[in-house]
Amino acid sequence: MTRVLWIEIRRSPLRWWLPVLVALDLAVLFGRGQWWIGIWPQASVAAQIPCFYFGPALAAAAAWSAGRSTRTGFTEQLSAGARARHWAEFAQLASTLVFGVLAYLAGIVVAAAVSASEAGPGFLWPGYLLLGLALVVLCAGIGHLVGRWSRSQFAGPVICGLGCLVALGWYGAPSQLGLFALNGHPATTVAWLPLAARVALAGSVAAVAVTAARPVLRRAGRSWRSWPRGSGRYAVLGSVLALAVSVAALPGSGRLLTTRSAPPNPVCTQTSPRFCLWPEDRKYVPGLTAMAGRLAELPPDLFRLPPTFYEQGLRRPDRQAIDFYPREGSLWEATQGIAIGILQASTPAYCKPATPEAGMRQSVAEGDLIVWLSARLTGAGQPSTDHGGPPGVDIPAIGRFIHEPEPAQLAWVREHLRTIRETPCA
Amino acid sequence: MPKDRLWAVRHHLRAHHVRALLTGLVLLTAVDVLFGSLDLVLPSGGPSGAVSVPFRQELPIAFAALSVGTLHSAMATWEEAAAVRPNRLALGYPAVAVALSLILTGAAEAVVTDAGQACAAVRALVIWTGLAAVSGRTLGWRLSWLLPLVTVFPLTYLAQAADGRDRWWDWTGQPATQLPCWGLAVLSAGLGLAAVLLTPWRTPRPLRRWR
Repeated sequence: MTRVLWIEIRRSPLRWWLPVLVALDLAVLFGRGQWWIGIWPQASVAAQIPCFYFGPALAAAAAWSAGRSTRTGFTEQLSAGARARHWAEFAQLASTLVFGVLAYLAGIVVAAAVSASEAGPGFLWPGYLLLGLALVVLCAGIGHLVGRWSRSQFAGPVICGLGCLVALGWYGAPSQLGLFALNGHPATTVAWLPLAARVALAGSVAAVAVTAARPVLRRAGRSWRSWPRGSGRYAVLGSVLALAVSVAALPGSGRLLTTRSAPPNPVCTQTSPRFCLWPEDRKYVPGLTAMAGRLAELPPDLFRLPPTFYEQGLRRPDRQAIDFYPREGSLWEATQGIAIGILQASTPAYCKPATPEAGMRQSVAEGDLIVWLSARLTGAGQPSTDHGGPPGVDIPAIGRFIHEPEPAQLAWVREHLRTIRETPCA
Repeated sequence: MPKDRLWAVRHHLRAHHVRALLTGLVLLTAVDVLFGSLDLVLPSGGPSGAVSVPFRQELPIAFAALSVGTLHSAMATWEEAAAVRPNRLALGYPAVAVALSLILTGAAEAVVTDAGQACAAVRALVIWTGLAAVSGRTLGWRLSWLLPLVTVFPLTYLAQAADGRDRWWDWTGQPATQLPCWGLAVLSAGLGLAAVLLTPWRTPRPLRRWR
């Protein structure tokens, strides 16, 4: 069996495409910026994202390889072989999968190697990596099945490749079927039961692809000519049953991503006020320490500062709005949450404004102050990679304003704080 | 048309999968009209991490692969030794197939969306047809879908610059008024035409040795 497997791997049509697959993997890894490096869950998700492209690629490749016997007119000889047909099909599907998994592993190794120096203790999270593997096996199994059953050698690979891509894009997102993950914040993790359901689905689809031949109906004589003899019969029945069970179990297994419980000792900066982070996000500690230094430059009577700022997910869910979150590694995004926390501590509690104009003035003043605080905390204006912000606020102007002399800025801030505090309540 | 010429055309069409071509074109047009507005969420290297792409932007790949794939035939070795008239047919038939797919795509898009998007779809189809012809000539006409499908990766993952805008070469995202993408269309059409015309008897002698 291993000799046949080795022959299949050596003669697979994918053998010249392995460098292309590895290049694709690396392009996906490093094409989305470097912010995931040094955070283990983000690195795991970054290593898993190439599977979104490996799935359709391997589906098309498996459809093309599986159509080999139809292309060369060899189907009758294969059915008349001494060993069961499913061993030959298994060798073929395995050879296709070997190339995909090799390219995937190369990406995993690179992601781990690049992150190991910056990240703390721990390693890549296996949940995300297994999810990627399940996706690859699922798509390759579907491709093999279509390639085996389809009469047209052209339509099979095109439909598999494009169809898998479209299906994944339409229904595979984390909020829907959950076949891939796009973000690996330390507060979320892959739940094991949904992951096991997806792995089972992938395995059963591959089993059906390997054991089930195309049903051939004949008008006269026996109706199912390609029904396998002996053990093949039970193999087909078993794999179809497994597929039915895993498809039925998939919706009931729950959402793929769950929230993680907060660690007892989050990593905090040694400043006052403190910034506390998830232990996996420890690479942001120097940036936040610098931020605390810039916060200390402001006059102490200007704002009332909370003693500690927490990253999202470390506290109870009702604190989510004001906890900070460095989305995609952007510290500007984190400062938005920090600024909201400072404003909440420095201004009276929210009450419904008496008139809509007063309410508009209050929200624009708040937006201005949030953007000003973000700019002062990061030491620069909004970076070009970030977009959006509070409505009605001229963000580039504030980015230039922070370089004005200090007394002018403080007067502007005090005037805005007065506007907010003097908003008449209904 | 004299009877033997009609006979030659009919048999050429049969060898070159004309029924599959027509069925495929009708099916793809129907899919474009019915499911074209389906939003696909694809990962992206841009600032937002994911990009939402309507299905109709990637559908011309199937049209291109189908129309170029008809160049494949089981009688390929016989056709290589054919005379002038079948060779004219061998070029005219894919030209008609490509023209048909261009018309159907443009019409379907113009009906369902607007004229600007129809022009952009036709431009994308021209680029992908050229790529399909290059892919078919190098890898075999049954694999003409390979290069167009590979381009989906840079068009979705690498097309967003750091500030969120589409790059100049993203022919699916740029509107019909952008000139550089039309330059790409002309280049791709030229390459595709060269790939189809570069038959063994037209290849210069040094290149023939490499083939």
